[in-house]
Amino acid sequence: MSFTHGTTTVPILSDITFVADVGEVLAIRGANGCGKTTLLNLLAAIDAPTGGSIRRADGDNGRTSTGYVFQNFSASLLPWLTLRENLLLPLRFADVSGANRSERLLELKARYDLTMVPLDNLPAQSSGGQKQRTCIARAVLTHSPLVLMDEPFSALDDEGRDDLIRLVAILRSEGCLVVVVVHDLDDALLVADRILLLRGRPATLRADIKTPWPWPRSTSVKTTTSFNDLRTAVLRENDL
Amino acid sequence: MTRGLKLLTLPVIGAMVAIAAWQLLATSKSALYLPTLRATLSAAQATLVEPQYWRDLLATCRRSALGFLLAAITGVPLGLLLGVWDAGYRFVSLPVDFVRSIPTAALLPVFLVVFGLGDLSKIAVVYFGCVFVFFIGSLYGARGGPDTLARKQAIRVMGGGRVDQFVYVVIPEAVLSVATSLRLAASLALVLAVFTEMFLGSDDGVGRRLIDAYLSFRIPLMYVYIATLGLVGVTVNGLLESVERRYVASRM
Repeated sequence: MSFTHGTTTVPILSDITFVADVGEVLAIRGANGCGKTTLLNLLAAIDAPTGGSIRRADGDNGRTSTGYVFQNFSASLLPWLTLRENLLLPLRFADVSGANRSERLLELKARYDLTMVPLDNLPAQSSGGQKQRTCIARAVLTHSPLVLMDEPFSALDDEGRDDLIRLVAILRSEGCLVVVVVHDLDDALLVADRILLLRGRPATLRADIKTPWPWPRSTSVKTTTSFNDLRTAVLRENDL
Repeated sequence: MTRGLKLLTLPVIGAMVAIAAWQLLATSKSALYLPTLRATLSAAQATLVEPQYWRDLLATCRRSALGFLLAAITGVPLGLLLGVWDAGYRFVSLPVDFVRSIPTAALLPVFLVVFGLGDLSKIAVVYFGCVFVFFIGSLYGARGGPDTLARKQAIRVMGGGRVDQFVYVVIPEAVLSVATSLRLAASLALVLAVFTEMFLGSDDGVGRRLIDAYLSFRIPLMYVYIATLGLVGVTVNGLLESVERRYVASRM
């Protein structure tokens, strides 16, 4: 698959090919501006590839069954709606009734901690972390088989980070394909089954590295020798 | 002192200074067309008890309100629609820019010929003046800001369609701009209603009484009508501002 933005002639992504399975977590890494967000936008069907194609086994075009945590998560929240109203928007679009929405919210709260989030506040009255938690919750509310997260750790504190890692493990166990853009290599190694390294301009798929640790994972994995070895290997691959 | 009182102090002092300046100017020898405060208040006392005064005020308010509302009902939806439909906007932009550049006063003969001397021509003038204020305000509001694309993309990814993007993103983003248009158009509607009553042939209305008072050299009475218009303007503006604060600004 390749992609060239309509306003330029220079391709952003070139000949990116990979297969991902349900119940997998993919982390995408690469330098700033290399096309990671573009790749997520293609997977979310916001943009269409200009060369090649993206095929989903479920035949979905990606418009109704994709959860997406945007890199600019604040902008993706509607400032005139409370965090709760923002969070429940996907259910509104899916014509889920009011009573069922409350039920789904309770179910979500059991999977992902929202006690820190003042749901009745407007986004402007909330912190970056609270907004990012809302966006993460919104992306997984409808049990989409594909969840995309663009730098989902950026505004989270340590507790938020742990909660997200737990959520990713839950999504994985539910058979969801999760694609995460992560800058921090340790986070990438911890949450992902595979790390896709993008490199160059236009970006190509430089490496597809598997992580060997069993799930559920805890931060203690970081202290193992295998973690350090893989970390070094990824960094070396990055530098080549 | 409460916060409300503190906020009121400066405007009240400002108004008192303006009244004092008026009185000072009026008592100077060259102030032929500026009556004293006492003369104006006494003219007001005599006028305000006349039912005709209130009928005139009602006529002016009716004309400006009708023109204003019709302009809002047509101008806002049209502006919102063309704000998101670029081809449509490009199609109408030249004729619209041409027509809105024509001063309303230059079209008075046209309105007279088409709508006659009655209320209709006056309402049409108010409508013509206000509709472009609404249209342009809504159009630019609907075009959105730097976060519009991200919001629309988010709606799309969540399963919303074009109508959802319009309802949840375009309209709320345009609200602030439309609210500003409301206030601008409200002032303009009053100005144009009075203007038509003065120069487009009218039996009633504040504009008609104002020009009558001027022509018969009843200067204090003229100022009573001028002050009336000022008070109406301030009241309408205050009302719109409080509605804007309550329903718009608090959510932006």
